[in-house]
This record gives sequence, structure tokens and C-alpha cells, in this order.
Amino acid sequence: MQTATRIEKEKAGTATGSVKPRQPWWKPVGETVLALAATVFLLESFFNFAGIGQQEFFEPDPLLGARHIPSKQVTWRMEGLSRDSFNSFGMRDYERTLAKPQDTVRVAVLGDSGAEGLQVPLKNTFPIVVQDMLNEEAKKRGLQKRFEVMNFGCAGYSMLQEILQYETLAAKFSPDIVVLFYNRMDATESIIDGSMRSIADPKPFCYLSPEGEVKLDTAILEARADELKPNAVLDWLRRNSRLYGVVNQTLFSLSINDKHFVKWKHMFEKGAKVRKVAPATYPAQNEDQVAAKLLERLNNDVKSKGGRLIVMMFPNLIDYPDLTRQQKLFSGMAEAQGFGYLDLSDPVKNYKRKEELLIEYHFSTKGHKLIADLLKPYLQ
Amino acid sequence: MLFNSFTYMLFLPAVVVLYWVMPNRFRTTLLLVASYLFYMNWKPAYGLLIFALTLVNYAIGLSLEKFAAKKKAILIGGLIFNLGCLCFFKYANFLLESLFSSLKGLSVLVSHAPADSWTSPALKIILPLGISFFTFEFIHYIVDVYRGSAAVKNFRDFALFAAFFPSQIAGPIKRFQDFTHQLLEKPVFRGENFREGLFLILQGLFKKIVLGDNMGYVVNTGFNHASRMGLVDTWIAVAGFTFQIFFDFSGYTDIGRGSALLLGYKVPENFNWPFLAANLTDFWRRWHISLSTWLRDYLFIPLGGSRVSAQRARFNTMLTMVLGGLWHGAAWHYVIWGAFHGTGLVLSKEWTDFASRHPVLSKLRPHPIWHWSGVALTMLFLFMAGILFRAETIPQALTIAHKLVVPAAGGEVTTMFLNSTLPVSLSLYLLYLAAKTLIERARQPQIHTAVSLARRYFENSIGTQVVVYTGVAFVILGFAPLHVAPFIYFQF
Repeated sequence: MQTATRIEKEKAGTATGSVKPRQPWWKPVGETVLALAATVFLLESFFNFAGIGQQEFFEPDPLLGARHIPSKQVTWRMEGLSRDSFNSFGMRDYERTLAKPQDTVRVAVLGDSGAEGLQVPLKNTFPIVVQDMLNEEAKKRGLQKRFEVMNFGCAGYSMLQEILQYETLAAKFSPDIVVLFYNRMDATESIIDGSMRSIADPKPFCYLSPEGEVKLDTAILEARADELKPNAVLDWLRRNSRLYGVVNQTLFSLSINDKHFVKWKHMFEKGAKVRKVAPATYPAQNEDQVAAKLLERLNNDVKSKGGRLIVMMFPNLIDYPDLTRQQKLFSGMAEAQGFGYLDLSDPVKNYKRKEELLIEYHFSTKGHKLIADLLKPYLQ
Repeated sequence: MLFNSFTYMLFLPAVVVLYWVMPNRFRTTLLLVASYLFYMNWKPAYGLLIFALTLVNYAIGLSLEKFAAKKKAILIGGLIFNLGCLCFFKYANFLLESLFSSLKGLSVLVSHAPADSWTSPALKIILPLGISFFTFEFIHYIVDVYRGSAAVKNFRDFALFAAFFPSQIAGPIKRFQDFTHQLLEKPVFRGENFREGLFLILQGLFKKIVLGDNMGYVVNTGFNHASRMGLVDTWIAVAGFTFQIFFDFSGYTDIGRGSALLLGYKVPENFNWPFLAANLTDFWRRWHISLSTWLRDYLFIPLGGSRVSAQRARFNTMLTMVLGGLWHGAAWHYVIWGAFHGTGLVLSKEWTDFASRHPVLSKLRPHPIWHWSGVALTMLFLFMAGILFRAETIPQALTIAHKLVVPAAGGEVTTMFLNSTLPVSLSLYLLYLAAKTLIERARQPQIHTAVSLARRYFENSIGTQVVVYTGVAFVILGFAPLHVAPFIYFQF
């Protein structure tokens, strides 16, 4: 009886057109998939055009913790603006060959974000500016000699990571001169306090052995080795997807803006696998002693390969005690061990409109030009 | 809780889902609890303040009905109470500081006493969020009940009118008749309300985060380093602020209206293409509509409005705008901003009257050039007024005004603007407005058929809706600046 009524109702409904015919299940699913594909395609294309979601430029590295993604196109807007690609070695630089061309003087610049210079276009970074200046001058003098100033700078690197970067990558390019652009905290970030081991970013640290040798502490890298393993899907997304970049940028923004998000994130992470980091087997370290030993190691290494080291100090604009100490330490070492030393403090302090040299914490195009002018005599 | 915060993005869906799955009789209570949670998330103690104000105004409303013979006295008492609370929280320090500065100046002048022997009498008062808005809603309520509207009998309904979270912090300033009418009607879940609500929220977030906040960086750089700005920099910073405040405030209103629609409520519109106003009177009909109509109904008209002598009408306009300026903030530059707008309104009215009487000018008035010149001049006036609104001190305002006309080298603000995402996002927004206007005004039936087909398809495909809304959310996240900024009107 009920079935009959339902059929009658359906017939009546169909006749008047008031009841919609049931869609096959695959139709709404197909429409959704199609809409999803079209939206992803449109968003990726639009973001690529607008330079959105391209601030994601690190990939995990088992030794350094993180490194630039080779050939990645980066649009940087946090301070200033740049839209360039890293080269195939992951350097913020033009494409280079491993083999040194004939009659070429090669300079390797090591450093953190100060050298990397994402705040300005690649052509305005001081390594490229000084390279152009040197080549121009050599050309004017009718010399065969060419200069290649290669940038190995990478944001967030500590002094230890910069030196490991030299040993694992920069040295392969056989540089004649190595410039270490020392930024404040580079030494501090090379060592780790015992209480911070469980929450530190996965990266290498170091300490001095009782014999005074620099030793690597890779316990944190080992404890978090699973995060540093290659992951085909994540690696692909990191290299190619702007949407992935947007998601990561949003999570980062939330973690610095929203206390509730941070609270929930911590709660979520507490529930995740707890990583046990091996305790330190060495006493608390003195950053100046470690920095001096690291510098000595780099200088010896460069010298042994027939090169020359120059240490360039980030300007100490407000007389930070640690940087003041390290200025004295490194200038003394330069004299004693025979490497070059260039302190940017006075030239920047004495610059007429020094606010034009910096964009918040990094150098502007004018700042990079000033560095290039100051560095040039050291490279000739 | 900020509308553009992660917490709100969790709070709103939770409230909406609970609201619609809950039996109808519990919904008002749920909204009331949610609204208090929303408010107390900022400073729990101030939940008591809004509750106490609600309780007193509820009692005043009932008393106005019950004791008709004494209703004038009750109204005056109610006004003193509401304005007293507003003055204490918002203006006490301003009045004390102003008095203190005057006395200090006088003392230094008369007795040559050292100025540093005086200490500031400022009280430690934290301005409760939204107090300017809900106090105005209370005043509207008691005045309307005094004028004959029926008082709200149900305390829960009245409390929700005062605390309704989508409009609690920065308006729009609601009218209780509209709101309680919707409460009585019992909202019904409608797909089109839901879609429109989501659309408004996304549009509001786009305006606030993508346009307003990014513009804020450029504007702040300019105003914080006024002496370094060049001519073009100054124009960008000044025009930028006018647009920043529009994107910020209308973005807030859109999110609020959208949130209300998800719950089945309609909150009044606050903006109607304000930058297309051809004169200042027209501008105030299009900008912060709920405030300007409140000022008209509860201040300008009771003062006599414009149906008095010309001199008195000018005075009424000036007083309304000066008090409107003071409503925005307890600082002299807001008072001067109000006076500037008042002067502009008076002059605009005089000019309109003069032009309509003048034989040549009256013929020119219907011409589009006349209209668009009016739009440009109004915009220019708003830029100038914006300097007074944004500058922290009068000397800073004067420096910026001076830099608008004197050529100087600079370029920091210009470079920052060009380096930001604003050229792309503003183009995207203008493209959206142009497409919307063209479609609405299109005369070809084929366009309307195509649009309605697309709309019908969209409305029938939930999967597509989810994908499209998520896509728009991604655009907003992609263009969002690193740091979240609070809404400008929260401070008022």
C-alpha cells in the first residue's frame, strides 16, 4: 500500500516536474573533482604570476639540517622584494660550473641571510655587484683575468653551518679567496645549551674537546633523522607547489601571531612521538672560544688549498657587547694568523643617510653597493 | 576575539553548527552565551560590565513604559548613566590630561614653577572593546522607548541585542526594533543566506587582510617617518590611509554581516560605495551609515536639524560632527577632524545652494563633468581629513600636509608600495568590482542568462561551492601579510 502511494507520488512529481530525478553518484563527485582540478590549476598559475607562496625555499639536509632547494624560484617580500631562482647547486647566484675557468679568480662568500640578500634582486647583491665592478675594471685595464664572486650565503646558518657549507660545497669550486660574512649570533647559534636540546631545530652544533679541537654534535640531527629523510611527495610539493608554500607560510604566521594556535599546536605535538635527544657529553661551551677555533679551522683549510680568507664583520650599529668582543677577537686573530679583516661598522655608522642602507634587519640595494665598494680592494 | 583570528575561525563554525542542530527554543540562549564568550575572550572582567549595562538599560526601558508620568526624568537619568559610563571609560583620561596640561601651562607661565614638578593624573583605565557602539545602541533603545516604541520584555532577547557577537565590537549600530523582530520571527536555515554569509565573510577577510593590512604597512612607514617622505610618497601614504580605513572597517562589517547571516540574522549595511560620493553630504549617507543615521536621529534632529534658521542649522551640523569626531577617540585630533568635516559639510551645503540659484552653474550641474569633479573634490577632502584622523599629533599632521605640496626626494614609501602585493591585489579587487558592475548593468539578455545558469549550477553543486570557497580562502591566505593587525575601529 505504502509502496503504491510512493510510486503514485513519484509519478505525479515527475509529471509536474516538482521532484528532481536522482543524479547518478558519479556526477556530483565528478563535478567536484573537476572543480578541484580547475581551482588548483588556476591558483597555482595565479600564484606563480603574482609571486605568492614562493617563500618556501629550504629542504632538509642530513648534515646541515636545511639547505636551499636547487633551482627553486623564490619571490621574497618579507623585507624588500626579489624574484629570482637559486642555481642548480642551491646557491643564491647565477649558474656556475664546478671546474674553474681559465684566468679566473674565484671568490666564495659564506654567510647567513646578510650574504644571501633575498631582500634585493640578485643582480644587486654585493657578491654580484663586486664581481661586475672587478670585471669591468679588469676589462678597462685590458687584462685577461676574470672574477667570479660566488654566493653561498643561506638564511639562518650559524658559523658552524657556514664552515660546513664551505667544506662540503664551496671548496669544490676551488675558490682563491673565501669571504666569511660574520653576522651577530653566528657563533652563539653554533653551540647549544643542554636545556634546549629537545626543542632545538634539527641542525649541527659543535663543542671543543678537552684537547681544544672542534667536534661536531649531531645528536639532534640523529634524533630527528626521520624528518630529514627524503619524502617524495613533500619534496615535490616543496619544489613545485605554491599552494604548499601558502599553507606553510600561514602556519608560520599563525605560530607568531596567535597564542591559541601555539597552545593547540603544542598540545598536538605533545601527543605526537616524543623525540629523545642524547644528553650532551661535554660541559657548557664558551661561544668566543668556539668561534675562534672555528675560524682557525676555516683559515687553515683555506690556506691549505692555496686560498686566502677574509672575515667581514656585520656592522655593530648599537654596540652589542658580544659583537664588540668578537670584533676585537677576530681582528686580533686576523693579525696573528694572517687573514684579511673588514669591519663594516664605521663605514655604515658614518654614512650620511644610513637608514637608506638597511631594510629593517638586512641590507638594501644601497647597503649592498656600499659593501661591494668596501670589499673590492680586498679582492683585487 | 578578532574576526581575523584563528580562534574565530574555529569559534564561528562551532557556534553555527550548534545553533542549527539545537532545538529552536535554545538558540537565543546559545547565541547569548557565545556572545559573552566572544567578548570575555579579550578581558573576562568586562563581561560583567556589558552585563551590568544591559541590566540597567533593560530596567530603564521597562520603567519608561511603566512610569509614563516620570518618563522624561527616567530618560534623562538613563542618558546620564550611559553617557557617564562612556565618558568615564573613554574620556576621563582625556579630560584629566587636557585639564592637567592647561593648569601646568598656566602655572609655568604665572609662577615660573618647573614643569617637571607636575605628574600626570592619568587613571589606569582600559577602554572596554566596543563600548562606543553598544552605548549608542542603549541610548537609541531608551530614546525610542521614550518616544513610544514598546520596550523589550524578555531580558534574554534584550541581552542578545546588546551582546550579539557579529556586531558587538564595532557595529554596525543596530536598531532594536529590527533585531527583536528577527528574534520573534525565529530564523530559518536557508541555503542562500548561508552562501551569501560565506561570501560576505570571504569578501570581508579579503578587504581586511589582503588590502587593508598590506596597505597598513605602507601607510605606517609613511606616517612613522613623515620627515623622510617625498612628494609621491606622501600622496601614496595619505591616499593609502583613506583606503586602508575603508578596507579595514568595511571588511569588518562584511565579516560581521556574513557571520550574522550564517545564523539567519540580518545586520544593517554600513557602506554604500562611499568613494563615489559627489559631495560630503552624499558621502555621509554612504559611509558608516549606522553611525551617521544614529547621529542624525539622536543628535542632529533633536538639536533642530536643518528646519531652523540657516545660522542655527550650521551650528547643529558643526556640533554633530565635532561630537561625532570625539566619539571616534579621546584626542584633540579627532575633535579637529570632526570640526573639519563639519566645516566641509556646511561649505558643501552652501555651495550646492549657491550653485542651484546661480543661472549658469545650475545649467552645468546635470553635466557628468560636474558630478565627477564633485567626486574628485570630495576624495581630496577625505584625503586631507584622513591626515587629521591618522596623524598622532597636530604638528605631524601639518608636516604631512606640507609635504603634499612641496616637492622633495624620497621614494621609500613608493618602493614599498610597488614591492608589495598591493598592485596585484588592488587590480584583482578592481577587476572584481568592474565585472560585478558590468554584469549588473548589462543590457544583453544573453549575459543575464549565462550568469543565472552559472549561478544555478553553483547553487546546486555543493562540491563546487566548497572547492571555490576554499580557493578564495587560499587567495586570502596567500596575500596575507606575516603579521596580523587588529581592526582600526576596535579602538573606538
